Amino acid sequence: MKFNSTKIRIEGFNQLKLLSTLQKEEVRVFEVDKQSPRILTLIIQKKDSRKVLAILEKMCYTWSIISVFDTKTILKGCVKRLGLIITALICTIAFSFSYSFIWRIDIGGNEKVDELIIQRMLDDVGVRVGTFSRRVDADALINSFNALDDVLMSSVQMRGTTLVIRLVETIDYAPPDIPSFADIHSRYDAEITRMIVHEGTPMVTLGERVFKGDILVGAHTMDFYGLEKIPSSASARIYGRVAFSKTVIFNETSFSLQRTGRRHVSDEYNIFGLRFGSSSHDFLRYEYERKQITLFENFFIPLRTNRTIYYEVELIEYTKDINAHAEMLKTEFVQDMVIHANSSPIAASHVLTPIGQGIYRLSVFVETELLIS
Amino acid sequence: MSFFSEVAKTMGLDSLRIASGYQVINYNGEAAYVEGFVQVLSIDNNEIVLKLKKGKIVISGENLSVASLETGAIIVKGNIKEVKSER
Repeated sequence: MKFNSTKIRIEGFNQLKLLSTLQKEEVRVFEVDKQSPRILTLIIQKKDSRKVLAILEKMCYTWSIISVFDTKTILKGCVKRLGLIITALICTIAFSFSYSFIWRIDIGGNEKVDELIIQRMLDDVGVRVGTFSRRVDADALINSFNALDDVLMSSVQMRGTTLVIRLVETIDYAPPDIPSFADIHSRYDAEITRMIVHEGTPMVTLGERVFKGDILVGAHTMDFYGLEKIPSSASARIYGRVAFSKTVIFNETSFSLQRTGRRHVSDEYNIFGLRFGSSSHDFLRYEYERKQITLFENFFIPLRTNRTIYYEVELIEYTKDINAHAEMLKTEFVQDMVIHANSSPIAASHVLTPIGQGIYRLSVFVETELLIS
Repeated sequence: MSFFSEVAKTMGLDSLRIASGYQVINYNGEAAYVEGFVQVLSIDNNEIVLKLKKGKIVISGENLSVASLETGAIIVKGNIKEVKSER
């Protein structure tokens, strides 16, 4: 519909005569729509309204104004929807305003560099959630990240309200195996179980007992007659049965923490970096579980709640099953061996000795096959 | 068969496709018959504009008047100088 125009519904016969009369009166009509032989709708310019209505009255047509489109109707419409317009305006301003801040920090690509280190670096330059995004000096941050030992390159950029930090870390290459031009010595007291010698002369035999520091493979070969040593590199993998032991002293009685059934729920709200709503408890000893719920993420109201549930606990004294506890300690030791020595144990045993007054000494012995060269 | 379909057939055109579009006959510049338009966009003494599915037809001249108006068909009388279709 054109601006400053009126849409009229006209009812009556001889519509052509009406159109012809309007033309004679130099009234320009728009969007003529013959809806039925009796009903016609058309649009006229607002300035012609008085003239057209007079013609319609004179020609005895039944007419009605369907709509008027001018400044007044626009203003009326705006007044009717004032609440909506103001709300939309406030939302737009709030939305634009919130876009000037950082509401999320997304750190990625870091495996060697701990996220806490990056967060501390951001804290040092005053960049955190709720900071004005223009305060972020991306180049300075990139330079400081790149200065970290394990970082090859980095990028810092704002995507909406999220500060995106990506790191590319350096790759560690294992140094190539360099043949040793020195003798290979044993790293443990052991009984030789397997020998794979690539270069050099073996100085021990299978089943032989060796001590830490003993020469396993000599960095030489013998001449044709077996009389003279010719220096060479030594390269070998020698495995041996190695025994480890560990002694632990423990008490028959022990204490454990048990929940009494009393609990306290504390909800803390976090909006624009402000925290409020947390409440305290009167428990002497307690455990707690914490859960963070983000109500709006990447939205202009970044509301988060931290729910902490405190459980009151008390110390309960109890007597251990000595044999079961000894077995558990032994299992722990064996598992430690598997992790640290990277080897499966061949045999494990233990000796439990009571010292007196409910105190016991546990000695655990584990035998395993290890690379001793 | 309608007049327009018969003409389309004689000219070897697809009569169905032609029938779904618009047709114009100019009677010696004294009257024009147009069918296949969607709406009369504007009427005044010197110009009558008809809306098509795609584009519009502008009939320009002097002393133009609507002699007949039915759904999708119009007869315009007067001193017709030009019937122009704009896509």
